Amino acid sequence: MKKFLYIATMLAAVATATTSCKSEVDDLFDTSAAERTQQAVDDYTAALTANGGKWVLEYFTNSGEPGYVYVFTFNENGSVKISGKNKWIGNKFKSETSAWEVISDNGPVMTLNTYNSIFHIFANPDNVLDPDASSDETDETGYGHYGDYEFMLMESNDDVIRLKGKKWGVTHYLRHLDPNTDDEAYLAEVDAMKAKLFSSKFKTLILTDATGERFVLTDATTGVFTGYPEAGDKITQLTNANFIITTTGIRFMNGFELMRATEGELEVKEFTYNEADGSLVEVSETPAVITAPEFTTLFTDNTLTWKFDNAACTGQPATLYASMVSEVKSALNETFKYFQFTYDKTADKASLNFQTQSRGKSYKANVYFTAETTGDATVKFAFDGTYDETAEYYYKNIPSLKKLIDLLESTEWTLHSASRLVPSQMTLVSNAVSDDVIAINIQ
Amino acid sequence: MKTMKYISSLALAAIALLGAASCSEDDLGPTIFPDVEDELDPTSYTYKFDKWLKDAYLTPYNLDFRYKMQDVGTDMNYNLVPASYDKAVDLAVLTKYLWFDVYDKLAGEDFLKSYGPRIIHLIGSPAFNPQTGTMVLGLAEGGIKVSLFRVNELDNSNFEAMNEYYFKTMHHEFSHILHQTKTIPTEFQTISNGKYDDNNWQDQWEPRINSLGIVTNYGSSQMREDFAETIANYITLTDEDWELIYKNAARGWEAPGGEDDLDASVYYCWYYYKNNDATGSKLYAVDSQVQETTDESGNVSYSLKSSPNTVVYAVQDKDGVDGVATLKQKINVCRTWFKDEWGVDLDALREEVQKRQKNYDINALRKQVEDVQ
Repeated sequence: MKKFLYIATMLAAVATATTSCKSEVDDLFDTSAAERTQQAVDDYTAALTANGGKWVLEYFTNSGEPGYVYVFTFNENGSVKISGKNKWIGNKFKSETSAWEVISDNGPVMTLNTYNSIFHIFANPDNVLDPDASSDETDETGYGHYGDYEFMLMESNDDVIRLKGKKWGVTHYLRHLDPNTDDEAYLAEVDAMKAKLFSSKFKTLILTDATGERFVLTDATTGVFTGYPEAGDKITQLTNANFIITTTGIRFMNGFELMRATEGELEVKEFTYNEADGSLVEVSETPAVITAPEFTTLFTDNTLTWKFDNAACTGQPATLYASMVSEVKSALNETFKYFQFTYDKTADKASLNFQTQSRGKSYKANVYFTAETTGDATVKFAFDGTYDETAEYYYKNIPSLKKLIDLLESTEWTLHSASRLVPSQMTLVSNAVSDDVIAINIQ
Repeated sequence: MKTMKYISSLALAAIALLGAASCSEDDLGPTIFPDVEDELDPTSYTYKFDKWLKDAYLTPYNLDFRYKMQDVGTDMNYNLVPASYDKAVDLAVLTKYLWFDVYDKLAGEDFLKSYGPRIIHLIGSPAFNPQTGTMVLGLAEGGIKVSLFRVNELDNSNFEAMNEYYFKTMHHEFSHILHQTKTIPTEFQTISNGKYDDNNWQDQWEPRINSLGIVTNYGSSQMREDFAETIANYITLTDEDWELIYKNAARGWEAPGGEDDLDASVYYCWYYYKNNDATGSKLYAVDSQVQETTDESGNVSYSLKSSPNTVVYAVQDKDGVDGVATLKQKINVCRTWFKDEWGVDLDALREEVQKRQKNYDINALRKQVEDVQ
């Protein structure tokens, strides 16, 4: 018993000695948390104002509307010039200066802490009348656009800072710009990219992934794509995602998950514009590509009209067009106005449609034809000899018209365009004589 | 026994060991917080305004006038935006002139230093409450902070609108701060007992609320709001405004379709006339339909504008409350409370505010900020 008590007591003493306090704890960091936070604030303040302090903000509000591009110039005196151009500020370039600061608030936070009418509009709880809305009613919800103006500074390098909206949690990017960047010119560049990418004329686009599966995309001009697999169900497999147009292409707010026709999903996040063919190419090792539908599909689309650009035609088409103009003038004393491929809804037929004018009166005529798709980009015309009454008159009195129709029928024509996304200007090149070119523009 | 002694010795030794190994007292090291300059930077974009605020509010009143948005300082359930710099300047100089300077003059310089808010926080947008469809104009939090909303809508040429959204709100919120220090008189607490409705106040028709002896709809929500509304409106509303309130307070009203019939084309009416048929039933008329005539003896009569021969009667005041007397009683209680508890003459305060709000020069007030060196 004595021995046991002795051992037990000694063990307790040893245990007590070994668990005694240590007055100094090794510091994991050289400075306190408060000092490190302040250092982060100072570092981000310096980063934002570095090299002219000019940045482009790729800004999103909610998933139901597009992203917006703003140019920021952060000044060391606590002012920030914000420039923008979007429909909420009248679709005109606007620039306004307000205050900014990096504060410590659970980490460094960049706050735009005085009101800037061209930016805070997205955080304003007052509903702003949508200039595109048909109704002038505002349904006041108290939420507005769900936009942020305080941003947690998540990570950065010299060129890019990733931000996270403090209230709504959306990820945004600030990208450093050259200090000499002209704000208005930069935003005009974004507009120019927008025009290159999407047109209301081409309502449907095709996304083709690396495996060749095709997805139909619509609503591009709204900034919120709707998409479904071409071989799938366009109701049950419909998904949508909003994106921003930048000077280089588009980026989705949270990626775009498209449902595959059979099973699984395709997720895409960012596309860059390919100047070579005017398509959008995914930033990926196995990139998907977004284009308009095939040129032949567009050329034969019943809803589209393609007008001859006679100044850009070459070879026989140019010669015959000039003759036709001349003959209409000499034989009928009329002025030839235009010539176009269109669709006559009354006759329910494709039509070579033209118009002349004389003494204030216009005469429209339709020569009906079919355009058969014979290859990826080739068409073959066939005229079945039907035309409306007006066209019959011209067909008999204007020899060049008949010759032009004969030329169209004589060979296959290959469609070309510099842009696969907005092929609003195309050429029909004769497969027989490569110099025979008909230039057409969408109306 | 020997064993016990041995154990005791060992235990003592262990305790001694414990004592020797116990923690030593830590010396206080340097602060873990970085040194942050609190001096204003003369190169700052907002230096002039910041300096003016420091001299006009912080130094004399220990008041932090915050115009740069700090959303952590707000209720995050609301969706709010910052005040614009220019509007903040206007509101700051006007607040000084129409509120602080008035109290300084009538209550002494120490009054607001002692009892005034410690923080005024300007917020650009309204604070909407989507669930109730209401909009918060101001908040007094903990008796030390006043938040003012909708600053970006400030129209410095319209003192009535400014009163509605800012200055009345300031007096209202300051009244809360005061009664959180010295309680609301018992007399006031009992005057309109049973007349308050915290859930439906926003749906009430204000003239009817006046006839119950309550100055505004919001005042009809709770007694403490009634108290703050009585003071704030007494100070800021003009004599003409009060004449209308008293007029409404004196009138009777009826709801043609019954009080709960919100679909009735006319919800409340002050007038009625008799149907020109066998039933002679009551037909109601609103102000715009009625012609008021006063004869040589001062007797007032009413007729229908569309039918001058039709006699119109004022609806009898049957709510059981003398609205005018009640309102005056409340003002008197507030007047006494201000005098006895705070040594402030409420009528003189009102007179000074009335004089200033009709005679301010916004450019001269702004110049105080522009002239800061």
